[in-house]
Parts: sequence; structure tokens; C-alpha cells
Amino acid sequence: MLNVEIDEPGKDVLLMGNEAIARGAIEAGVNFCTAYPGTPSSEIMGTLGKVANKFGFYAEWSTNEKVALEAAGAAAFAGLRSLCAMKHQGVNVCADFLTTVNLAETRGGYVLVVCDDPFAHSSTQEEDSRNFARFVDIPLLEPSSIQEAKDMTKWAFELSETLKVICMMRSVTRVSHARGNVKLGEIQKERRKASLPAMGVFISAPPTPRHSTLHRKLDKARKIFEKSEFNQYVGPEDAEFVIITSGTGWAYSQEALTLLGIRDKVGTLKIGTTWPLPENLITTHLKHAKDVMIIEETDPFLEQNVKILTAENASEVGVINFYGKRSKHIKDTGEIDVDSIVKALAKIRGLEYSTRDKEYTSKAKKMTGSAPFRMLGFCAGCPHRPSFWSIKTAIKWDGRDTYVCGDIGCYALGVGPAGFMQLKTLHCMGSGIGVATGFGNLGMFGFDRPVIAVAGDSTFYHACIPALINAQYNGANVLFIILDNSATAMTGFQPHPGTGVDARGEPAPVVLPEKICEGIGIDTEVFDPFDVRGTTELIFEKLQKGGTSAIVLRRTCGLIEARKKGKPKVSVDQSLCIGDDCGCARFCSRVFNCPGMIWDFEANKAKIDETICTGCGVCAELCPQNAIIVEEVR
Amino acid sequence: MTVKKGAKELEREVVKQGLCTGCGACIDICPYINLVKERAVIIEQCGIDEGRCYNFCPRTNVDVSELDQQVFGTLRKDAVIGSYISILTGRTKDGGLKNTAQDGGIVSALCTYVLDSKKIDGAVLAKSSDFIPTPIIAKTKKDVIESAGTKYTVSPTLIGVKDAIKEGIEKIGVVATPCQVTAARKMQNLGEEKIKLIIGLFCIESFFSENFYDFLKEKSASSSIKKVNITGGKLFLQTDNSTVEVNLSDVKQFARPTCEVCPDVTSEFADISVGSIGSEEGWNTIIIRNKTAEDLIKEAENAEMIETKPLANEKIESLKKIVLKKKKSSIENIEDKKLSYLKLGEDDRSKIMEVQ
Repeated sequence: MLNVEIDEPGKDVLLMGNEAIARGAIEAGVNFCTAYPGTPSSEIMGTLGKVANKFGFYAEWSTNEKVALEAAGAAAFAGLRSLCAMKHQGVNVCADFLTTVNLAETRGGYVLVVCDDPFAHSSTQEEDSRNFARFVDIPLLEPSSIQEAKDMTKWAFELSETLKVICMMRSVTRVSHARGNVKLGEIQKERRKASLPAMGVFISAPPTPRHSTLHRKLDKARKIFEKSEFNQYVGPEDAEFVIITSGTGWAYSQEALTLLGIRDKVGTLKIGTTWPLPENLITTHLKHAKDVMIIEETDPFLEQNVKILTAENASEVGVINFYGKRSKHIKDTGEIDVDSIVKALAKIRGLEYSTRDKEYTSKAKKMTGSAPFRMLGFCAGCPHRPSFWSIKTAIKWDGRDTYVCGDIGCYALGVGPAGFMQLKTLHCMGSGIGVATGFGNLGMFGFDRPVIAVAGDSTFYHACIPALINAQYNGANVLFIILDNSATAMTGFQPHPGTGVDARGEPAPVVLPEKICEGIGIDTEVFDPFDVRGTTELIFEKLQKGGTSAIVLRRTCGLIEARKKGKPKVSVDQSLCIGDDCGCARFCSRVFNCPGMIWDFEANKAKIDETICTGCGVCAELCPQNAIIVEEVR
Repeated sequence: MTVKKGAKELEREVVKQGLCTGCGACIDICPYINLVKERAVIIEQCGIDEGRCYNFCPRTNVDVSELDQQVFGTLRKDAVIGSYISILTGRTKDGGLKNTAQDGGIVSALCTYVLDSKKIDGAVLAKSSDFIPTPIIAKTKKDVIESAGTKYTVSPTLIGVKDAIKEGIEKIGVVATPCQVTAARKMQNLGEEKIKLIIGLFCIESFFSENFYDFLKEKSASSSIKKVNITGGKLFLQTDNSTVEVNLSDVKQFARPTCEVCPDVTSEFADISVGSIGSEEGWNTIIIRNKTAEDLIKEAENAEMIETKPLANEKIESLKKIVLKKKKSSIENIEDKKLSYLKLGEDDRSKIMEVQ
């Protein structure tokens, strides 16, 4: 049994932040859950999907975030509690719907959970999704701990029902992916029935009066937030130095104050309801402050809004020195952490404090000296490696310097050595084929290079189809290659429309990309990327022919294959291997660079790392000496 | 005589200059060089300073004197057609070969003889399939007959040689164009000892297959071209029921630019060279360049496979005249294109340029 399933109110259990969010939804008696996988949000639906049948709610991996938010919206219209989870970039995808559904009167609790990725650990950018809440006039909550992640999610449903508007909760990597003890609450077991009011109309019109209504809802939210337990002040009542913080900044700032020994001198106002701000609460503490430091992840969101408030109440709060992202005391890009806050506080307060001992760097170097350097690369047995080698080879064969547009997924590593530096553009989901349709129509301006776009299977369903139709309709000279590894591998193997299972693990119809491509009227072929020669010839042939066409390179993700038992045994006949010499110059371990291929320094020959090798055998096909042997094991 | 140059220089000096002959010498020795549309394409630079690819290539530097010493143990006595013992004219006496061979059928006859007499175990020949020549390893007379006839586009014959080595064939014979002969000698020099007999062909120029045969099919209004023959500045297409004449200037567009810098018409580094220039119709001109070749011709004659007679002196002179013209123009082209690495040594150059 998962910890999120435990029905013992008051019990402390260890949960990951995303599990806590799922538990919050379960405790709220959520009826309808949707999501599109994306780091760091994926475990929310990953958890909900597993327990959906047990608790009797609906859970789906949606095709993209817009569909996810729309489907959840329907449930909220029908009086059900719905939750929609995504990563920060997903909000861009569903933004169009968000800017009208906020104007409709929703009925059931409607909660949008967004997990931001400051520092873009696993993203192509690090936008601060909180801006959307202000932009579309909806309430925003920001948990500072795993416990709050659960409690706020649960409360967000009530808030949404009170205000009859969608509520947003913003998590970040260090909340979603951290683990901590959570005190469990009651699970709402009452099952709601879907129902619509007599008219049952849910529209944004007339927009201006509804916009006005929405602003009144924010006023109401502000009043509720004034009394929210998620906002709290600690420290001396009349502190002249006050920290205002939200999210991870709460724990970081408290640790920093402890390290500097100034807890008794500095007050901290922690805000959990970041939009609209609890203005009276904040003003109360601005009144006793001469210096205010604002600590938050990514954008100066809280900072700007507090400054507006200060300006509006200037006569009451007087002159305040602000320290934060605008003053460069807190970095305005990447992730914040305890060290950077300690440094900033020490500087502002004129204190001596070194976050690391002087020999830290040399000690660290000494300790890590023996660790092997590893390039960011594809896993052993990954089909993307031979796919990119085939793409590279076919482009060389063709000789016209084909331009390759990339997309979002594991194969985005194709911008680097892992994919032989083939990808030249990389933006958002589906933009590879979108950008490629443009390049494919630059012929009249003298652009004579062929164009390839690559996309993974999940990305294909998510956002490639309109672009592909555009390519066909407008005659773009593009070869679209779907790198179909039958998995949403990068985010952790979530099911998608091509996998034959749904979020709850139930069988589902398989939607084949090639059928879609063919339906659009595009000449499409399905091929196995492990047949490197054949794949190269096919890509070459399509490049030479020109026009709009598609290839589905289908081979299951190496990690899925590796989990199966009885993988073939791969070994190197070192008597045939020529190693460093002319003839291959270590092609397998140096260029093709599969982590399963290693170098035997004693023999100066190639060797297989059997613990890593998945037995795919592609290297055996490519070794010019036929020195790699693959033995089938039953 | 290896040179400390590798794929980087091969790409710069040969591939990018359009000088690749498509011989196949650099193909399949590593994963980085492929043959595409009869040209070498470098997929990735291996980073090795001294590579077989560069040292096998017939369009990287050829020290004529050094190669003469390697093959014949002496410097050449004739600056125009290289070392030779004698020049004959001959034809096959084998009825089966007569019908399929281009001219006198000497190449087919010699191949058949050396295979039958086990002097070699496999002969690498070019076989046309829809006009695209590919190397085959002939082991029987039937294989030889199937690949008979001149090809005007190049087969990557050296790929066939490497396949034969991989296959474990101990004594390999090769029928090759002058560039391919040079590559085979360079491979031999670097340790490929299994190449036992090199029959060189006369060659003035070659064409890319791409579009060339479509052009010929269109000219002949037939898809069943039986034979292509270039003589006297004209190209003759023989189909089932007619012979069509095409001006050589019309096919110039398909010519390989690398042939413009090739000073070798008669496969100067072969054991024996065979062509049609100088001989009457139905006969071949044969240049016997070493003892192996001299013995082979005698044995083949004794075996009633071929008949020969000396080539008349004035015919030899006319052959030399044609070869000299091509040689001089190639030397000038090398100098015009500033391909310094292809320049002949000053001695070798002056020997040729001084001949009138």
C-alpha cells in the first residue's frame, strides 16, 4: 500500500512533495484528475493514477496541458472537484483556455497545480508561472513545505468552490521532489454526482462584466487570505529588519538566520497566498520595518507586488529600504539556496560569514578526482543513438547540409555530442516541426538546404499534428522523423496514446502516429532504427526525393527493454578489435559512445560493460572489424 | 612510402576538390567513409593523423619512380607508357568468350585462364547491373562471361578486393582501371600481399552513372543498350537493332572531373595492360610489363586460349601519341588547379614534357 492511501488521520508518513499534492487531492475527495507529464510535476498523476480506482475518481494522462485543463474544466462545470497538474511550460500551452475559463462561473473545486523548474534542471527555460495567476486574475497559493503542499491542495478545492473560480498552486522542484513527514488528514469519502444547472451555460461572455466580477472575486480572496494560516509572521514583533518570503525561501531564510545567529533581530513574514496579497497583514509588518528583504524563487513577483503596496501605503509605512532581486542581493535567475541567502544577509547586515571553509574547493576536487567524467548522453541500448547516427550519415551522403530542427524529449540531447550535434533548434513541445515548416518554405529566398524535424512519440501527440498539417497543406519541404521509443521516457515512462494503457493501468486503444501522418496525406514509412544501414538509406532516399514526408523510427526505449529478462550477451573478440588504430579509432566507445562500450586500458581494446549493456547489439552491426559478438540467451 | 596524412587531408585534397575516382580503396576500412553516388563521403573525422584512407588513395601523391621501383624493381624506360617488356596485339580463341567481349576478349580469356589453372583463386571484376557497375569476385568462367564488356562508369573495384581478402581468398587477381591499379599497388605496398595479379585497362576518361545512362537511353530511344563503345571521338550505342552515334561533347557533362588530372592512360603500374587503342577491330593491344605477365601470355597461348602477334611499330607510336597528349594535358591541369600535392617530381615531369 502506498503511503498516500493510508486512512489514518493524524498519522505522520513520509511523502514526496508531489505525493503530498496527490494526497491533498485525495483528502479533498477529488473526482476528476488530468495531467500531462513534465518534470518536476509528473509524480502527481503518477501517484493519482495508481490509486484512482481504489478511491473511485477519474484519472487521465491527457494528450497535452490544454486538453487536460479543458477536460478538468468540464468536471468543475458539472460540480465535481477536479485537479489538473503540469510543469510550468504547460501553462503556456493551456494559457488560451485559462484566459477564458477564469471568466466562467465554475462550480466544483477546480485546481491547477503547476510545478516550476527554477534553474531549468529538466526544462528548456525557467519561467515563473506565478505571473499567470496575476495575469488572469486568479488566486495563487505557494507551499513552503511538503506538509503545506498537501494542506494547500486540499484547501484550494474549498477556496475554488467559495470563489467559483479556478485556483492555482505553484510548486517548485525543491518542494515537488523533496520528501518530508506529512501529518495525514481525513479523506473525504462522499462521492459527488455530475450535474449541471438548468441552463448549464459556461462562457466568458459578456467579457467586461465578467472581468469585473472576477476582480470582485479577487477582493473576496484577499479577505480570506488575510486570515489564512498559510501566512505567518515569526520573530520580534517590532523588528526593523523584516524578510518577506514565499515557497522555498521560507525554509532557506530561517536556516540562514540561524547560521548567522540573528533570529532574534529579524522578523520573517511568510506568505503562502501569493496572489492576491493579504494587504493588511503585510502592511502591518511594513509599518515596523525599515529594511525589507524579499526572498523568492525566480521572478521578483512578491517583491514587485509588495513594493506597489508600499507605495500605495507610503504615508503609513514610511521609507523602507528594499533588498531582493531588483537590488541584486538575491539572484534573479536560477535557483535560490541557503548559501546565497546567507551571503546576501551577511552583506546587508555587515556580518562576517563564510558559507564554505577555505579549502572546500581543493578538498572537493581531491575527493571527486577519481570519479569518471561523463558527458550528458543517451542510455545504453537507446534507439536515439543509432537514429541520430543514421540522420548524420544520411545528411553527409546527401551533401547539402540538411538543417535539423529538434523537439522536447530525451532526444533533445541531440544538440550535443550524444546526438552528434545534429539538432539546431530546440524550443517547446512541437516547435521542431513547426519551425521546420518555415525553413521548408524558404526556398524562394534561396535557402536550398533540405530540412528535417524530429519529435518523440509523446511530443507528436502533444503538439506536432497541427504543424504537420501545416507542412503538408503549405507544401513545406520537410522530412519529419518520429523517434518513437513507445514511451514518455524523459519524464519517467508515463503512458501515452501510443502505449495501449491509460493512467490507471487499464488497457486503452493504441493511436498510431503513422496512421495520423497517412491520414494527413503524408508519405510515411515505419522503420527500425537498429537497422542502421537501412535507416540511413531510407532517410537519404527521402532527402533526395524532397517534399513533405515522414518516417516513424520505432524501437522501444532501452530502459524498458533492459528490464526484461534474458537480454542477449554482448562481448568483444579482442583479437579482432583494432582499438585506437586506423580502421576505426575506437568508434564504439569514442564516437558512437554507448555507455555499455568501455575501454580496456590493459589490453588497449574495446570491452563491454555487462552491467550497463542492454544487449541491443547495434554496436555489432557498426563495428568495422566484426569484433563484437552477440549471443542470444534464452 | 606512407605519408603522414589522414582523413582530414583526404577530405581537403581529394573529396572537396572533386577528385575522388570512386575506386573504393578508402571504403569499408572504417565506419567514417562511405561510398555514395560513386564518390567517397566522409561522415566524421576519425582524428588519426596517418590513415590508410589517404595512403591507399590514387589521387594522393604518387611518386612514379618509387612505385616503379616497388612494382618493377627498376625505373621506367618509357616516360609515356611506363615499364614494359613487349607490346602485342591479340584476341581470344575461345568461342564462348568471343561473343561477349568488347574487343579481342583478352581480359576475359586471361581471367578464365588464371582461374582455370588455379594461378589465382578469385578475380575481382566489374559487373554491370542496369549499367551501374559493381565489383564481383569471379571464380569461374561463367562469372567472367557475365561481367565481360567495357564499362564507362567506374566500379568501386577495390571494395571487391577487400571483400575477397575478408573472404579469405589467398591469391587474388584484379581487373582495374589505371586509378584502381595505382590504389591496388598502394594497398600492396602497405601489406596487402594477397593481390597476386593486376590486369590494367586502358582508360582515357570515365563518367558518373547518375543521369549518364538515362541520357544514353534517351539518345538510343531504347532501354536495352547492349554495348557502349567510345572510339575516334564518338560514342556508339549498340541496341538490339541499331547503332546510335553520340558526340563525345554531349556526354562531357557526365565526365568525372578527376579524370582531367589523371596522367595514366595505360595502367602503368599493372602487370599487364589491355586496351583497344592501336589494334584493329576485334583485337586488343597488350602491354606486357613484367616477367609474370610474359609467362602468363605464353601459357595462355599454349593453352589455345589466346593468339597474339607483335603490334606494329607505327601502331605503337600512334598509341604513344594519344597517351602523351592526355598526359601533358593532365599535368597542365594539375598545375592550373594548383594541386601541388599531385605534382610529379621535376625529373618525371620534364621527361614527359620533353617528349615530342
